[in-house]
Amino acid sequence: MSDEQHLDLRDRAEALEAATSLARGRLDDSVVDAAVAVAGRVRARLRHGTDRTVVALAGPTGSGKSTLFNALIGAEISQPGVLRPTTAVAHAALWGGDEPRLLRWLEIPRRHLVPDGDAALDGLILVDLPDIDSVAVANRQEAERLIEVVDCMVWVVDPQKYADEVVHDDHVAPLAQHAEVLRFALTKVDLLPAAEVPAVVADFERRLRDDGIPEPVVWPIALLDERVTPGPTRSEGVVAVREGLAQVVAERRALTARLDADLGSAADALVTDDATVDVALDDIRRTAIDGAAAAAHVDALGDAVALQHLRQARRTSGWLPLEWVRRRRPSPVTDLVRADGIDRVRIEAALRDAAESGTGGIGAPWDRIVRQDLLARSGDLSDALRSRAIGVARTVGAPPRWWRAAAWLQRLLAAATAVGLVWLFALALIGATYLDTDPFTPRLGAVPIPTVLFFGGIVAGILVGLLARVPARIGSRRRAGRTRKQLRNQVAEVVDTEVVDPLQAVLDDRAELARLATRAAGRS
Amino acid sequence: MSVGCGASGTTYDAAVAELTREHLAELSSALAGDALWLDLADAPQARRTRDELRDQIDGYLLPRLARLQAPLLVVIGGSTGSGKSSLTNALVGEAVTMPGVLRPTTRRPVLVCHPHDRVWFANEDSSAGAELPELSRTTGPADDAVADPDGVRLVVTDRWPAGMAILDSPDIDSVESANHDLAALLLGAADLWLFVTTAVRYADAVPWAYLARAAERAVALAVVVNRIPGGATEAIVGDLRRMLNDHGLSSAALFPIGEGDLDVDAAVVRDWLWGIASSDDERRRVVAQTIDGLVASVPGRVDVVAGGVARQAQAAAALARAADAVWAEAAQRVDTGMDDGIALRHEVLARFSEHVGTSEVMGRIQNGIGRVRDRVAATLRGRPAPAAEVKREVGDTVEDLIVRVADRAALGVVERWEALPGGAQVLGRAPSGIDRARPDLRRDAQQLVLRWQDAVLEMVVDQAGSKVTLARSLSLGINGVAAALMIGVFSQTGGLTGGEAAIAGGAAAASQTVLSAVFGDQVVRDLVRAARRDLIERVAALYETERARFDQLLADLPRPNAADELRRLAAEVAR
Repeated sequence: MSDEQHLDLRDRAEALEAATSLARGRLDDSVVDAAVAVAGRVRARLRHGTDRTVVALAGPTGSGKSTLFNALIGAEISQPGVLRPTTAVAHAALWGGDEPRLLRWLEIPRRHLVPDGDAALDGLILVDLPDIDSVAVANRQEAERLIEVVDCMVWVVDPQKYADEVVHDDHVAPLAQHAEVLRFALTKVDLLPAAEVPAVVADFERRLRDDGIPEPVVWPIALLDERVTPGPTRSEGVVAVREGLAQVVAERRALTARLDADLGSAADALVTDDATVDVALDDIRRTAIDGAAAAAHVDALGDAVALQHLRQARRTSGWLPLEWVRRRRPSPVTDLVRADGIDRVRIEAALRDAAESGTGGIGAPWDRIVRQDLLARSGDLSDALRSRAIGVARTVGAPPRWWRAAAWLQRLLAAATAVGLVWLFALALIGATYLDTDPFTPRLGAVPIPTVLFFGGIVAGILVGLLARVPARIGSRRRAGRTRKQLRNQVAEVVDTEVVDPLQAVLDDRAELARLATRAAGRS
Repeated sequence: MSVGCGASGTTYDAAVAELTREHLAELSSALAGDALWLDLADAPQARRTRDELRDQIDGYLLPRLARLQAPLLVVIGGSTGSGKSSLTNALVGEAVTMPGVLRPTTRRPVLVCHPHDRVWFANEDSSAGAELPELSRTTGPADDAVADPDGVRLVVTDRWPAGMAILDSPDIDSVESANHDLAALLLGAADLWLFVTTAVRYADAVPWAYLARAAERAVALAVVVNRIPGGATEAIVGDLRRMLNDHGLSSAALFPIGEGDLDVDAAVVRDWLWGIASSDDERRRVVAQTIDGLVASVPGRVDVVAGGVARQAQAAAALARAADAVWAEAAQRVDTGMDDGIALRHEVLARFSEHVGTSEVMGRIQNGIGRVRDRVAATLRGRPAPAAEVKREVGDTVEDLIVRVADRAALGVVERWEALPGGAQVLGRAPSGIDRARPDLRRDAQQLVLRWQDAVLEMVVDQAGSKVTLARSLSLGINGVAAALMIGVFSQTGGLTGGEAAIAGGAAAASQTVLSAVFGDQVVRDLVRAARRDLIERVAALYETERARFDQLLADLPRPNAADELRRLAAEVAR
């Protein structure tokens, strides 16, 4: 492995680790834990040197793993036997020098240094694993532990066991992503009629392809060197395996390929959603604003403000005597702003609709994450909306200038009416006491001034009051519009700060997780 | 049941056998009735145990107890590549099945019997009843690929003695999992297991799982170790005997067959089998041993199933509880939602309080005139009378509240269930839209509100009694009083008086004043409370129908007492 590859794998492991911290709490714990374990394993393996290739002989009991192990070394190191199961502890053989730290990391206690071995195998560490299918459960666990960490595997099966469920369904199929570092040996082929060997090999290859190994490499090996039937002898088979392993060692691809596949599958498991589909944040925002505006009674508040304006206009510019009689009523705005329980329910519904409007097709678990994030904000949103609504409704604008003029005019007219009334009353009193008949009443044309003042004041007051309703109505309508607009802006602002911005952070996490996973999988 | 595993002639009392049959049939149908479809941790084992037990009861015990004199069925089972077919051929002395090098070989079981015994196994006369009733029979040649692949191929030959049939079953451990199921079924129907393994395989985990079952059921068992390499016979037989003893199978017969010595060593097995076949006592002893063993194993196996059933019932109960809690909370939420007040459109409230206000002023004017005025006003303004308007607005809001809270609650149940064992699976079977209220709910809520409003009206009439006259005299009308009551239900003023009522808003305060004037404070408090309780009760009842949708999803899961029922039936069988 080149330094460049080494660094790249290390970076990818780091990306995977970073991705797991974003995935924690959002994805299934078991998936995240598995990814954390992979990241740690990759980094540990890289720390322990990359110039050795660890190849394991794996398979069911009695298939000849130990026999093949010994044959490759050229010495009786692992004890094959007739009693099942045989090998219980993994056993390593090293070509080209000792590597105690790596073996310690692999937790393989027994090792054998192959003296003056084949130079082509220099750098190879061959491990004889315990079986995967016997009643000895500990054997299977030890084998499975090592299957996780070795760089390359040779699966050793014989004609009796090549179609066993435990080999295919429990082990080879789950390793399909590592197809590049899997090799297969079919032992004891000389126990088969020679003519049948190709058929058995072909059947084995077919089953491997069913497991997801697109181009399986199968090495047939005989049990004995003296063959009764024609075909390759045992030594010839062993030579083929040795050459295959020499090639694995020489290419120095196995470790990279293994770690690459490990990182790839762990990273892919973190991205279950469709990362190419973006969350439609604009749709969410629009739906949330519409819903929140309805729940905040934007329209009704506009109406209430208009009504209040009309009333105040009437009170200031209406005919005074009438306004004195009219009862004071509470502000229509407060009734609306008070209501909360139902509005909260409506806001929740609006946020849920918003979530669903924007997460179509993005896939689990992020559609759920977005929805939960939005629903969790309904309380804050509802509080913020309420305080904003009160603010807007109260400060919707100063009273228009003409109110003051109209008010003064009405007071003036009322005063005139009063003066006229008093005057007329005085005249009436004079007349009633026969003091005089109108000695010095000024007249406007033919009508006496007090009469003009009294009736004119009344008529003008009513007229002004009626006329003032026209601008009041226009003003109230304008104010209602302005209130609605301001409220809507406020709602939008509140939705942005309380809902959209926090959601943006969640979506950033999603994008970052997808980016890191892509990086960890080595696709960027 | 009469336990009689003696060395010589045990026969079953026909009456006892019949009683056992009844109990077994009852147990079998009870087992069939309990669904185990939740994928809980122990579910696969419980399902497997149940299916096997049912297969064994229906496929072996019931027919066997009915026909105790039928010939013995010996089933040859074992690993792929262990040489079952070759052994069968060697035993019969005729190529009845086709051994091969491609694994797995035998897919269709082959049954070999003497012509005299044909009637027992051919399944031709259905009234006679037969072993393995659910498997079809064919008699074609060995390579007949056209025939039913699930059926048993029948080979009738006089080279095999009467009184015993042998059946070559598929493997137990290849990737073809259909083979395992069939093998398990056939072994379950055997009077005697002839279990074949090899020198390479005898310590494999999968065959030992089968042998452990044989031990549990105390079936008559013989083990054949095939393909022993030269010179290793003694060591391997010793090792295997030790393992068999460890598993409580010390009574099993053990036959080694050397690599290449099939014909010679198979003769030993054949002699042993023929010895049993030729002796009536031996045959009865084998049948009695297997039946006794199986019957004795029933409570233990049912216990496994019952454990699984209990876990399913627990999971179902937990899911049901979660749904209950969510819907109860939803009804509660409707209640508190009303506490916080209701946003009626202001002009509606304004008109209503104006109406209430004027009625105070026009206290003495007759009710009739009031109604006429209302109608005139309604025509002139093109609007309904204020009380009707309040009624409609209240109705719309309550309806909206009911629907939205239900929508949220449905999602709440889904969220809770996703976190509970089996919940996600149950939801997977749910129709789409389970996370929302029923589409019909809005219509139902509408109906509910209308009915509630009628009830409030009635309540006013009932409770008020003689005071109705007074209410009339206020020209407010019963409708007006009812509307005022509804407003009361939705404001915190419900039951409050004085300062707080005044703060709560003009309309509410006005209606409160009117109500108090008509009925007095205490009666108003009671009326408001009763109206509200009535509404909440109606909502809770409506939510019951929503919750029922979730209960429906759990309907076919076992009841809490199902496990005990199974254990009771199993105890009956073993008694």
